[in-house]
Amino acid sequence: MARQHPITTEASSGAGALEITGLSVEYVTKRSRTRVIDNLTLTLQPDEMLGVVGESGCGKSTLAYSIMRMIPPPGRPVAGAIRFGRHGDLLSVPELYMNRLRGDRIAMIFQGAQSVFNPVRRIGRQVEDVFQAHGKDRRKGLERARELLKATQLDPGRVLKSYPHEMSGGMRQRVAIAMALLLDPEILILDEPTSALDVVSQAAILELLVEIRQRFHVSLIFITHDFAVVSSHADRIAVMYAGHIVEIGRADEIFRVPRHPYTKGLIQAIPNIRGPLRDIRAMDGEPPDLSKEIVGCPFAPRCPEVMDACRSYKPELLTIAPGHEAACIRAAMAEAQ
Amino acid sequence: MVRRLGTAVLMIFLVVTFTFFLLRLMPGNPTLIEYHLLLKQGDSPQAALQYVNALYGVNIHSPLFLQYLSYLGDLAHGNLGTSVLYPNTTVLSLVAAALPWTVFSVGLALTVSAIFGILMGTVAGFKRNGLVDTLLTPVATVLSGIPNYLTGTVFLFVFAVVLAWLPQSGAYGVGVRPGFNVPFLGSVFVHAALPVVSYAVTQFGGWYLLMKSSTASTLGQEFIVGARSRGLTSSQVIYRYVMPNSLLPLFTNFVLAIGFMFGGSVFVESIFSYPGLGYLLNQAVSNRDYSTMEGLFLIITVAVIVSNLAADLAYIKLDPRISGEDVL
Repeated sequence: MARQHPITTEASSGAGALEITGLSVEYVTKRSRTRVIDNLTLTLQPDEMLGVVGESGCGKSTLAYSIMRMIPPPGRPVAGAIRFGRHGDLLSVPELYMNRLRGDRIAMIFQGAQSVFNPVRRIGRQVEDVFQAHGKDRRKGLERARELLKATQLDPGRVLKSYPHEMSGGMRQRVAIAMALLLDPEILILDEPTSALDVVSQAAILELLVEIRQRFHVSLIFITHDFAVVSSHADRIAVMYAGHIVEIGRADEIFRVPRHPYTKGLIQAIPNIRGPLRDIRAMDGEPPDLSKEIVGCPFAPRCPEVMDACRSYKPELLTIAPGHEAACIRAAMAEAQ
Repeated sequence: MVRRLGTAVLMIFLVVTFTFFLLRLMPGNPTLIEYHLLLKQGDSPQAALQYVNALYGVNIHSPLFLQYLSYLGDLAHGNLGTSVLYPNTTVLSLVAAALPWTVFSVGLALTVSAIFGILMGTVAGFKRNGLVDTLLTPVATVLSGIPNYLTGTVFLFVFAVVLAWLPQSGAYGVGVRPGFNVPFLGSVFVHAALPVVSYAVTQFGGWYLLMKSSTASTLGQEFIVGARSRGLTSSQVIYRYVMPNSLLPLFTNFVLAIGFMFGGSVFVESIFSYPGLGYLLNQAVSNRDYSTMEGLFLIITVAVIVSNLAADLAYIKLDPRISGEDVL
């Protein structure tokens, strides 16, 4: 198939950079209007690994699907832009162009690695499909797949001949990662890539990601509800709550001196295998109902440090230290003193 | 596999046995009626007995169990017996004459309705609330709910009686000479039109609804999202990712439907006096033609069991997740 929009693949300055500004995503039905992402601004730097952390329902997966422009209906972006280098705003490029970027410049790995492959098609054929879709040579594609599968510690000959059900969950996730890297994407989005796996496979996948970062020029967005998973691997961490980023900064700094009470809660909820058991504290309460209008700070009802002002004033992200922002009145006040 | 075949043979044997005894437990044995009729006409018991035996190949005074054994013996030699209704005509030749008409009419209806149902169902499954879905789904729901004898009766009344566009009965016109010639083939299609359409219209709804829901549920699966995330083209997604999966359950249904086809469509063939297996069965039942009924039930049973086996075997080939050991 002839290419209608040539996509440049050579690495240029700023490759892999993504600039999300004022993004809002709503799920609109006849009866309700739920804003799952609200006025979100976020920059992904070239070659960085950004961890996105939050409870389920905070909008982190919707953020991933927004970048892929694959938000499941009836959800749709209602405001904002996602600028991706020379390609422009991903929310407004033609669908055909966007589809060429998918799997080529931006790839995504899902939680359900168990079922991201066509169950009645051999892996080799599914690899060929990717190259065919992007107008590339299928034979060379299989060569590339062999290299990548070897890099993920799998036996390429066997995997390419296998059907998905013939592999274990951990193997399938490795294959999914190899497949996402087939066309050397600039951005790789991982949506809870380890949560469906056992602990040993989890560790192996994380190790693989570290290796991938060393070998390939790729920016990673790692989405998880597990703070412990990203704290040691990510360069920066963005904490999401109720469709907002409530804190963002360098991973070690966020982990050492969290400024938002929600971040503090998440960190306290990490079980420490060496420390005493009583130090684990789960957070009370539930995330707010996003189909209703939220007045004040969305975290206020659950916040242990809540003040009167929190219930009426909605805090914006403010720089607290260089490269460290938090959306909390108390944090802002502490900074001002 | 051996176990499956053994079960199949056992099933066939049971059906044969039940048919044999059930028929004879019903009142109104035609051979007895003939025998008493002859006695009344003044024949001697011996002569009447001999006559009935010569006519139907049955000794009415021998115990039922011995009759059953001799019937099994005949079956083992491929002999389905002689028709009660048409003496001197073997059941096999009756079946051989009726079978082509059923395979032709029901087979054509099945193929046409399955192809249209699957095509339209796929489109409707992809474009929920689209034009095809909005127009066809209510129609298909109604059609699949109406029994084919009702559709058949309405069609017969409208197109054969009131409008008189198409013939009311038979498989071909009186004047044409059977053979490979244009008037005969034309006549065959004209006569088959109403039965085929009545059958197809009813079946279409089922195929359409099944394919629509199968397509919709396949589209909702994660591997479709996965395929799209790899930037596959929409034709790749449709033909290589959605359809091979959404067609799987339909395929089994289709192979089973081929098996049930040999039962013919009793109602439709009777309404249009179409000389297929269904019509033959209807005649046999109303005239207590034991041997023909037994023969037809045997054929229907074998066809259904064989198609079940074939569907399972084909499924192993088509779905890599199913291995031979799971099924057989």
